[in-house]
Formats: sequence, structure tokens, C-alpha cells
Amino acid sequence: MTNKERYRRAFSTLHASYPVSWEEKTMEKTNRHFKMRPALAAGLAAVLLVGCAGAAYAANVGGIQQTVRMWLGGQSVEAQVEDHSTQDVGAYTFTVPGPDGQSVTRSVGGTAIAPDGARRPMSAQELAEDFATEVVETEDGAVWLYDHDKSYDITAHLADGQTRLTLEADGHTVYYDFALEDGEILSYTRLLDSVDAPEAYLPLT
Amino acid sequence: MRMETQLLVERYRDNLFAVAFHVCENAADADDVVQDTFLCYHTSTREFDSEEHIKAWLIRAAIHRAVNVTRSWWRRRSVPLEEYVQTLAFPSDRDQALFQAVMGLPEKYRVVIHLFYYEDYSVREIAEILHTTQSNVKVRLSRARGMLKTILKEDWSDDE
Repeated sequence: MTNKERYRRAFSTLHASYPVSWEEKTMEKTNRHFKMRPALAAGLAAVLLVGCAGAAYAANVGGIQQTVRMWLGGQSVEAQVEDHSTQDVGAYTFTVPGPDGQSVTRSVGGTAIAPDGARRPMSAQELAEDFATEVVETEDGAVWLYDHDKSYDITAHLADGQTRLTLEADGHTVYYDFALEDGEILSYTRLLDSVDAPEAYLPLT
Repeated sequence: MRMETQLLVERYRDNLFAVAFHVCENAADADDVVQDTFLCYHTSTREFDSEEHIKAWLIRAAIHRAVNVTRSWWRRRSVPLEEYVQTLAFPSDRDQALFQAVMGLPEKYRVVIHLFYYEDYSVREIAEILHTTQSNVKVRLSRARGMLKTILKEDWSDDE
């Protein structure tokens, strides 16, 4: 048996679990939304490992407890953090209040890499900062940009083809570049304080 | 050309689920990706050259959505992968070992391996789907094969 035959046999066990529907009413009931993280810029001095472990696993491990204040969806929230870091990797389980009143747990890890190649575990606060910016597409088709305490509905800008946006947040001038395909966001980058052509960026107010 | 969404669902639902699962490692998230990808097709007016063109577009859309889901704070990772694997009916222990070995690879290797061995795409086609270079795909394939060979030994052939 070839690798291809073996592979297909092993993965033929995977099947979608529930019927697909594209009726508008069904979609309204799902109340689903998607969020995107910015693409990691080349040379970024960090390795982020997001969602490496499930909540049940994390809850059984235990670890040093701490509290971190972080930004999620434009809101300041207090996260309970369990520290499972090793000598090389900062690994934490964050628990925050969820939108439906129930707490949500995520495991996040990362290693900071200095220009000389030296590595150190990232802190919980550094990893929490990664979630302070987010782009959310809601079920009604609106696109929201969150950056620390700022939130903007950028649906109309993207529909008009304006893919370069700038705003002031957390003491910085922030520049966003969106890559679109068929009107849908494929990815975006976030740059701080300086870009080649700042006049090309539309200020968000 | 366009095809009826229902027909595409019947033919490719499990394909999209499998590729999304390779990214999400979670059935609930993969199901959401499948649902949303077909909805995206259904509501778009894009024209395609062929059914293969549509399939490649669906797979690429599913991968993008799956990546977005995994990067979301609110993702639905309710069942650990190890528990989900126990619910699957593998034809043999060797098949389960291969499944677990692949799912243990880094995400960027899993997706390339899946598109090559399961979907039977060429290196050029995989590069187009993933918006990357053919050399990048070759490197990922080579490294993934090496990892699988290390883990599976005689159960994985040298086929480069």
C-alpha cells in the first residue's frame, strides 16, 4: 500500500458532523462571528503559540495564579492567569468573562527572540497584549476593528476599497493594511508610528 | 460557470471538513468552517472555469476561515483532540497511528501533507491554493515526510 492510499484510508474516518444549511434564517440563529489576528510582520521578535491546549487539560495542570488586565474587543477585562511556563516558553492559561456570562479559557504561549538569537519566555502581559487588537466580522456582515480601547466600524471603508487605515491608540499612531479578495479580508498587517506613505492612510475618527 | 450549492455540499462537505480539521484540530470549529464556506459560495456571484476550480476555491476559502477561527480568542475548542480521536472508527491501529502522527505535525505541514496525499494536488496546485511558492511547498512536504518517517518508521515509505 502506498503512502497516499494509507493516508486516505486513515483520514477517510473524518466526516462533517451536521448538515450544511445556507438558509438565511438558519444563519441568523447561529449568531456566529469570526475574528482575525494581524499577520505577523517579518522579523517580529516573538513566536506565538496560541491555543495549544484545551481548557479541560489546563484546568487539571494547575500553576502559579496571577491576574492580568487586558483588552478584548475594545473592552478592558481582568483575566485570571495560570502560569505553566518552562525555561524557554511562556505558557499561560487565561480565563476571562465570556459574552454570555460564562467564563472562557484559552491557553497561550510564546517565546521572545532577541536580535542576537537569544530566547526568553514571554510574559503573560506580553501575550495578553497580542489580543488587544482584533478585526471582527459579525454575522450581519459588518467589520469592526478593535485596538485597545478604540473600536471602529470599518465596513464602508473596506467596501469602498479603502484598505489603508490609521488611528491613534495606546499612545501610538497605528497603521493598518488590509489584503482583500472578492471583498473578503484575507489578512492584515499592523504597523506602529511610521510607514512609507502615511498620507495614503485614511484616519479613523 | 456556477454549480448548485447543494450538489457541491454533497460532493465536498467531507473534503472541506477534513482540511478544516487539519487546521483547527477540532470538529466543532471544522463544522463551523464548512458551514460558513458553503454559505460564502452560495451568496457570492463569482464565476468559475470548472468544477475543479470551484473545489480549489472552496478548499482555499475553508483554510483561510479555519486559520481565522484558530486565531480567535473565542474559538470553540470544546473537545481535546485526544478525546475526539477515540470516537473515530479507524480500520486499523496503523491508520490511527498515522492519523495521530499527522495531527502532531505543525499546522503548516499538516495542511500541505493533506492537500498532497488526500486531495491529490500537485506542488504547483498547492502553492496556488496556499498563496505561496512551489519551493516553499516542497520544503514543507519534505520536512513533513521526514517527521512522519521518524515517527512511523516502516509504516511510512520514502516516496520523495
